[in-house]
Amino acid sequence: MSRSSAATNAGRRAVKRSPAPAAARRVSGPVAARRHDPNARAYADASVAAVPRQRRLAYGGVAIASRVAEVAIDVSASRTMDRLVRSRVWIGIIAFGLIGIVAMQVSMLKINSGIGRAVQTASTLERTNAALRGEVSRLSAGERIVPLAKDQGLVMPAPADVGYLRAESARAAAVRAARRMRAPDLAVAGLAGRITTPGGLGEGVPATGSTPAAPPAPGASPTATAGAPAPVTTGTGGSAPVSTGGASPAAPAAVPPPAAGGAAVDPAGVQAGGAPATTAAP
Amino acid sequence: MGLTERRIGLLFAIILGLLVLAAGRTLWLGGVKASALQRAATTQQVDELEVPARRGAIADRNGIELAVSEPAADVAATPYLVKDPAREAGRLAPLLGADPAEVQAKLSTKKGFVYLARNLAGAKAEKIKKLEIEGLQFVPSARREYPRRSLASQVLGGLGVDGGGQGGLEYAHDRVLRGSDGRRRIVKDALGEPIVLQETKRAVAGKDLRLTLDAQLQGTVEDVLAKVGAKWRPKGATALVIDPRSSSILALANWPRVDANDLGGAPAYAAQNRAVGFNYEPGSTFKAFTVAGALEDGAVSPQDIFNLPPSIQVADRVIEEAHERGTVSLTTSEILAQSSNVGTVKIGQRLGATRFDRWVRRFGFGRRTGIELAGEESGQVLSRRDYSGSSMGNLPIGQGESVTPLQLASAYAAIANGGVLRKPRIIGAIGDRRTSASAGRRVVSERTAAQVRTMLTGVVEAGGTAAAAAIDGYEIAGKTGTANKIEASTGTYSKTRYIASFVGFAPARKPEVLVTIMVDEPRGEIFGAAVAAPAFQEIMRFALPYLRIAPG
Repeated sequence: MSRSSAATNAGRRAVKRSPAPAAARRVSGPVAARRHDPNARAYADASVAAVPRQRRLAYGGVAIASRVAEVAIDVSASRTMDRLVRSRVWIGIIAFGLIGIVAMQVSMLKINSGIGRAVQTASTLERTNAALRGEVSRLSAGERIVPLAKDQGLVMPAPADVGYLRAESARAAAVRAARRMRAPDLAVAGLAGRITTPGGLGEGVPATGSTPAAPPAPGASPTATAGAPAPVTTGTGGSAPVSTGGASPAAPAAVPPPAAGGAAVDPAGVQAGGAPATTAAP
Repeated sequence: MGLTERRIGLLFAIILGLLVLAAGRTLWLGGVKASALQRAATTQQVDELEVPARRGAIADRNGIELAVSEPAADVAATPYLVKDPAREAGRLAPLLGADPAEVQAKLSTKKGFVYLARNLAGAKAEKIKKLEIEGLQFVPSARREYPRRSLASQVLGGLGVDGGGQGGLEYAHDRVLRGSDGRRRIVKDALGEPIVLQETKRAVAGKDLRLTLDAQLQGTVEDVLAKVGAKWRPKGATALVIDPRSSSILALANWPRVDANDLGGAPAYAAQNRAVGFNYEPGSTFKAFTVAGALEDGAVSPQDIFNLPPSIQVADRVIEEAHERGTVSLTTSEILAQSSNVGTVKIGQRLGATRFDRWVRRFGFGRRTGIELAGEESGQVLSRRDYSGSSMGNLPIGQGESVTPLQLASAYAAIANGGVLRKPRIIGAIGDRRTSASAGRRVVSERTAAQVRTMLTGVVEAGGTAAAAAIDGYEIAGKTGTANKIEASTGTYSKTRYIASFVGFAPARKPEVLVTIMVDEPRGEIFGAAVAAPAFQEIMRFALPYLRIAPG
């Protein structure tokens, strides 16, 4: 009989005798005796040393496997394990596990069902989106907009009636704008006597930081207050069309015709920063 | 045995009997009927669906969509599963947009499968699903819609019922637009609700195309061609608007108009993109290249004076002017401005046949431009060794060779941009990747190009052939063309059928826009100056301010 089968038989016997004295069952039998016998160990070591290296390695593998089997048998035959297996706690554990499995399955089904609905929703949204994109394209068609514009009295300006500004460097525009800056007319602004202007620092600078800035005088060019170039839409070739409140060339004629040669003229008659403002249309 | 025990025994017997019945039924279903039920379960509970990839949209350069796809469905039926074909046909027909009798005939057929509708709009398919008619199947597909209908329809092309591109950009870029279909496995419960959904193959959407076309300009050009069509009742008309600096096509229009949603229903001529697929003899518009070659080779200068008789004999042919005149002396510039046939032939003779042939090819005639459009023709250019004695009598004036409108526009763009011939482009971006303009190759020097541009301004000035094309405030350069068509039956030039054309650009000194008009067989008037030049002017009058091109 091999060592393992002997141990198994011993264990089986021990179970049959239940309730039995635990200590006797654990220490008796050939397995435990041989394991704790120092002579047997020495004999085994000597025999292992005697065999060639390759055979020794093979025997080593078998020895490890049998050792693992022994430990497993010992654990299964232990009193603690026996108590654990016989315990009623298992009922709860198994019940909990089964309920968990069912719950997980239900959850999976719910998720899958949700995915199905999400796919359906995505498809619907995609369809709606495509329809809306088509609608945007249709609504932006010139053949729809042009008659509407005509109904509102808008006319298409002749090409030569659109004025253009020559773009220049921001620095040059800023310098020119700064040169044209004038002090605000305090009387007109209704701030006479409330603001003092420090000499030598440039006119129009408020005396204190808490004083509100004076509003620009009526008729003053809007470009005079900022020092920035006029709001020219930059375009290719250094020239840009003048914005007349609508980027489209179909925008209505709103201001007097430009000077000869398409030069732009500010309706207010002010040329600020070298970039005169808006003009267009007949 | 007491009463209670008997009752328990009876109850036990009943339960036992029920168990035996259940076991029997289980054996019946699990054994005898197992394979049939398994097949039924597989077909009823497991769906292997093809998930069509979203086809890429096509938009103009401002993002206005010209072609979009939306989910749709093919509706099919298994007729022998439909219990009451007459009744169901009545319910289905309004949603399918079909005749009830036709639907009923399909549902009553003896076939196992019949399509009721292909690519039906998704919303309608959903409504049909809700009818819960037994025997119907819904196969997911995609539906292509062209929201601007006829706008650029010949450029866009269309799709076949199988979703493949048929003509135009839809065909030329089908691989990019199509994407890759996916597959999805759906397991349903007894109520038909999906309980497992597996993406066995992920669908990859097609890429969007952003064109260089401008929908607003395109619409205007098509409107102008429609007016030409109404006024001159031609067979057809084609117009191109190009930015000569990059050879980007801003508008490409063909008349008659065709609804892109029903391209297949249009006549072949109308559905053709003639800007790339129509060969014609260019006539006088070709003279600019004869002059450009002669200038570049130093054979003539703009100020050279030619003594021009009313006609000139070349081998067995006599070349005359379009309008009768006596003997005159004209400079090279005046020859081009007045479109003198005799003068151009003389310039061609100075250039010589070999050098003329070389210049024709350098300007790109006789081969495709390589634009990303389907169905491009290469034109026809006579091989040098096939020249006859009279070839140099008609080739320099645009007879004996054929070109496509796009080739002509492309070659004029080279003159307009300072002498560089670029491949025309209509695709601005594929997906997120922007395409770039071709670097091109220089065909003539900047000086020669500038000289030709100056000469072409004379065409539009007083004394030129197309003074009607002038626009106040802008210096326009251009060239008229009137060419006889060839009678296919006789192989000779027709006396009744002509092609009137005009090519021009502005501003002449620094061109930013170029327009080509070709009118096929106009009636009542045949000359390019009368038929095509006014259309050119109308397009330019819109394009110049729209493109924000300053006068000059």
